[in-house]
Amino acid sequence: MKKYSYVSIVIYILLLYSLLSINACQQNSQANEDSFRAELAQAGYGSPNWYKTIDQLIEKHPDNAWLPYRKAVPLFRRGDYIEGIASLSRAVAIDPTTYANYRGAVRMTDLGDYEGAIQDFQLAIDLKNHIDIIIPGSAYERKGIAQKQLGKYEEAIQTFDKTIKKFGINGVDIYTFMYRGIAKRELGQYEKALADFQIIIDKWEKCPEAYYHRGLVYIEQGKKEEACTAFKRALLYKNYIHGNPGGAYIDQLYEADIERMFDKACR
Amino acid sequence: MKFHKYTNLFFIGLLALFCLSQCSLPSSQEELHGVWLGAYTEYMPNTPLPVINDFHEDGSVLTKRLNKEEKIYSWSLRGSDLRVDTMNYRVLALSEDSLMTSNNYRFVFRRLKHADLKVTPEELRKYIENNAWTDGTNNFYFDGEQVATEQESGKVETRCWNIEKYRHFYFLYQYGDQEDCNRSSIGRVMQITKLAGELHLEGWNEQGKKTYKLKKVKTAKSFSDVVAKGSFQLCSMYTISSNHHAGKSYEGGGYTIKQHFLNNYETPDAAKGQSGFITLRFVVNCEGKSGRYEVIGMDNNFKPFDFNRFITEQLTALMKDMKGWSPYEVDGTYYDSYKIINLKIQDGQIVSISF
Repeated sequence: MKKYSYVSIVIYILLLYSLLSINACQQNSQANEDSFRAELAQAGYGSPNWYKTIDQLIEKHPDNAWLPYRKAVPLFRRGDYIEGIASLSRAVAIDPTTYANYRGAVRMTDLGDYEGAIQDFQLAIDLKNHIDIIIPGSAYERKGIAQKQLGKYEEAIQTFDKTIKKFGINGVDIYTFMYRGIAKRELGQYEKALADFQIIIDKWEKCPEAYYHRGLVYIEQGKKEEACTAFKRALLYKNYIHGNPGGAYIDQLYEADIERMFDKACR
Repeated sequence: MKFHKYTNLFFIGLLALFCLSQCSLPSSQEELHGVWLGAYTEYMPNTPLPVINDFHEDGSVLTKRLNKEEKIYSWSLRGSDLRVDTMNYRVLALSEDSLMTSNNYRFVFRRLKHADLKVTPEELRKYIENNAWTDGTNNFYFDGEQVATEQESGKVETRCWNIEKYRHFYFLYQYGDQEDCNRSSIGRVMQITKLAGELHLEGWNEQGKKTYKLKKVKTAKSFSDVVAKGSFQLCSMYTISSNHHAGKSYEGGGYTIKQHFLNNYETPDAAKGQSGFITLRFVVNCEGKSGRYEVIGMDNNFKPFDFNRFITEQLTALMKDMKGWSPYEVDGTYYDSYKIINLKIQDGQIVSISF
């Protein structure tokens, strides 16, 4: 009897250990970004295996917005907008507060879908989250840019004015003034446009875009000498051109643009 | 007494269940003995793994990357834990012909087939080079340094080639590109398994699993004829960068690209309803040449949409006309990269161009 008791105790201990081992073997099923990232890191980013993994995670966690957003990013980078927009739209449907602004940016900058982008920016504003943490940018400013792109210059200027009034001259992105200045130039409001570009230069004297657009205004005004000076300064600061290797910004400036206008104004 | 006997049998059964419930089954050292050739890294399946691991019974393993020197380390296997020198791996799967290990990433190896060709490397090289081989679908034209692969579609790709011997195993692999043998590292490693008038190649690599049974083509085009036929080719055998800022890569910048399309595109007649978005996607290789053109149409809701061919053919021709590309460059090295130009189309007219 005593012998069997000792054997039973040993077996009980082993059983307890096995239960603990089984529990330790199981993966942590807590659904959060960190665990998803860890799992996706096992597959090569953007590889077929990675897509398979993320699709499985999306199926397993249908209420998670981060996953379909994450899937969309490499799709956009390789030009798969059909699947990319569908995936990002799923994220927006689940969590519009976080992802509406970003989808608007993709629609506006990548695709030229300005009307759709304005809807997304307005949604982000209505949900009181105008800051995009994915590609930094304010939905207010972006709405103005999209309006400008549609040729609705007065609306765009109003949007920019409201934004600057709401957040202050120092509370908006420096390029808000550039876009407002461009809209004013389009309406023939040359002095007001120049004033906007001057605001940028006062804040940051090495902004090539400010000098470039100032030069364009001078060209419109027939002031070739002033334009030449402006384009020279733009060329001087060409290494500071606002840029992103993944894609162009709206009104993206290129060195070739400055050189072309320099030739026009100075030669 | 009887009760205790059955109770203990019950718990012994649970103990057996415990052994089976472990995260992975233990492997035996004997199963690992032998020569393994890397197939691919599961992290990025189209990335080659041209590595030989030869596990010996005496606890030493010879590790060799093709075209590099061999190194010898110690190894041991306890359960699923494989230790090679100071590196620890987990054996995730081990069968007769395949092995998967992992530390940060998962590596897939395959066991080599027994094939004693009874030739020297020099004899084998002479057997292969300056000949054309075919499996009825693909043709392989070898000169002394390069191989031109002609697919059934007529597409031609040229790479450098070499053979290497390890023990009695022979490997044929490719590297480089059409201009420079140093430009792409070793890949597409295949084991040569049979000669006897033919050339049998066993491939299990980053391209997948495939056996080639090649026969010599008696009346062959010359190597240079075939190479001359080839047009656009990727420099890399397995990677295309997703960098795609077209404006930064084109001579004259974004303005020139836009002008090219706006000045040369003609809105076709009867284009009402031809509205949505078109993505023009192509590759610019490390030499600045473009190819692999695609036109992907979407309606205004981003669903697939087939624009009429008067639009798509025009846009394709305009893509092909663009000759001012610079290759994607990082620290003085040039890479193949995708380029993307997006067009918003309204009733057949280009409304905006983005990239």
